[in-house]
Amino acid sequence: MARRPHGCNRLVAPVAVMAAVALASCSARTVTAFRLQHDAEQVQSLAADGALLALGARRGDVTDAFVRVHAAELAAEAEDLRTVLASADPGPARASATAAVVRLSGRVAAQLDALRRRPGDRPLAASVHTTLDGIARTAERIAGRTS
Amino acid sequence: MKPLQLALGVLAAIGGFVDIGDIVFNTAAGAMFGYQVIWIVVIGALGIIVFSEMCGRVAVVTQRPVFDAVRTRLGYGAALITLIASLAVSLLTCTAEVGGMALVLRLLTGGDYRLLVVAAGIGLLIAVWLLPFDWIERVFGFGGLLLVAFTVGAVALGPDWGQLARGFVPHVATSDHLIWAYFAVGLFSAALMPYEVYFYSSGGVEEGWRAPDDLRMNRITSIAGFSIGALLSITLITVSAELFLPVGIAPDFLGTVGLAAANPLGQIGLLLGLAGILFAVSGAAIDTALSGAYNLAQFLGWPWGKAKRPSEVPRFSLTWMVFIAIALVVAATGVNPIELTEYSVIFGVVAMPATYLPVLLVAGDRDVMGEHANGRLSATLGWTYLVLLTVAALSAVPLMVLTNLGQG
Repeated sequence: MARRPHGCNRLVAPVAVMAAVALASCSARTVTAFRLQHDAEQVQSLAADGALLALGARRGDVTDAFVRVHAAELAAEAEDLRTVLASADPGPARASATAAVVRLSGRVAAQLDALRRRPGDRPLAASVHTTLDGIARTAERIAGRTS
Repeated sequence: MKPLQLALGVLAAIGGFVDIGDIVFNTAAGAMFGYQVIWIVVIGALGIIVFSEMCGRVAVVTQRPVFDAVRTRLGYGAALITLIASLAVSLLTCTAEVGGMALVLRLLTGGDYRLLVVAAGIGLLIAVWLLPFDWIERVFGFGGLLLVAFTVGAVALGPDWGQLARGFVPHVATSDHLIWAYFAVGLFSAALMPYEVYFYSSGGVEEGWRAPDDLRMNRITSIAGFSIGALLSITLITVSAELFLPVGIAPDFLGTVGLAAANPLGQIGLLLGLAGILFAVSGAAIDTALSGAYNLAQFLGWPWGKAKRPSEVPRFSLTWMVFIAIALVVAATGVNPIELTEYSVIFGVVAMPATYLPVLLVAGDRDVMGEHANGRLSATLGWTYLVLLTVAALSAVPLMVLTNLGQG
């Protein structure tokens, strides 16, 4: 369901108990296997979502306004994920996989930001589609390995 | 009973079935569990049919709305708690719907979210002020029918019809049982939001429904309207299962939902789908605001009625305006409407049994309802759903906490 930003900057819960639970989960600084898998799956989801958007932009199935808005929200989510995961302590066992997810997340954000800036550029959309599709597959493999 | 009036009522019920809670939970569940969750939507739809039919029947026979029954049957103290819970859930839902309106407007125009929240709130105030009750139902109900773009899109995607048909057979998902249970409760609850019946029953009183014609209309509108409306929900599960599940997309944004119409149908599908969502969430925002005003006025004994001039029912009119204004202000803070929706659906079902039980008791009371009291089938379904609602109400919050809002 709706992802809570890892940085908690947009978290507004209507019930105090829920807010406390959410804040507690956001304060975790260690990269557990569960969290790494979860974050890799998020990167996969964001990349696949972005790839679908880029495909729509390439085929002219979506309006420029739609591309700008949706690409921006996906990019912001990917950047948020990258920032939080990069600042977490992965430990030696998960350092390499964590760094890979951080890198992928950053690439997703960059690709989507490029699409946001030039929503009507079909060759760019085709390139973004291919790149994000590849990133989604890589993130899926990482998530599968950490499960 | 006029056929045209009946047809309009059914169409409005179809279009009004889906709100932001259905959109969020159906697409998310379809992306995670595919067709395996369809039968839960069917159970939820049957529940809202049973409940709304009883509410409508009670309104026709007694000329009294739901909250009157709540106060009479539960006593002042318990009814006051029910009122506070209902108002809180309606306000939460109204805020989510206003935020949802702004999200859709942003996807359509690319404008600033907060300005669009303000525009959405002001638009709602003007619409409720200017439009008569039946026009509110029809404009937003018919507009919600544009969601049929997702149905066309689902067919165009060439779904696995065998898997889809198997989805109607009750079964439990083979993995992630706790998360599946959370989604099951969410899907069930999204189909059974309390504000829907408050609005429906108060509307029946407003429109002066009378036996026997309006009893038949109530039955047909409930059964046909909500059944076909549930198909729109199943459509959302279908597009999600076909488009998002295979590539691991969690549809956490309304933009992602829009892609489900754009991918198979192009720009026209995108625009129709987004317009359908806009009408659906706008209608639900109005329903929730009016439901809050209905509940408060009926509980406190104030004069009420959308059909009356605001000067005749000043406290009722002020209440729905305050509802929309609060929703506007909260949504403008930047709270995530999708996350808010999840809370509203979960807390909605927690509050539901306290509203449902009094209606069930009144609908089965021969002293009050006479020959129109619940028959054997209605009573069996009614009590069965009380059990289901109670189980859902008791498990909703623990599941929400244990699954971290379905994120695992």
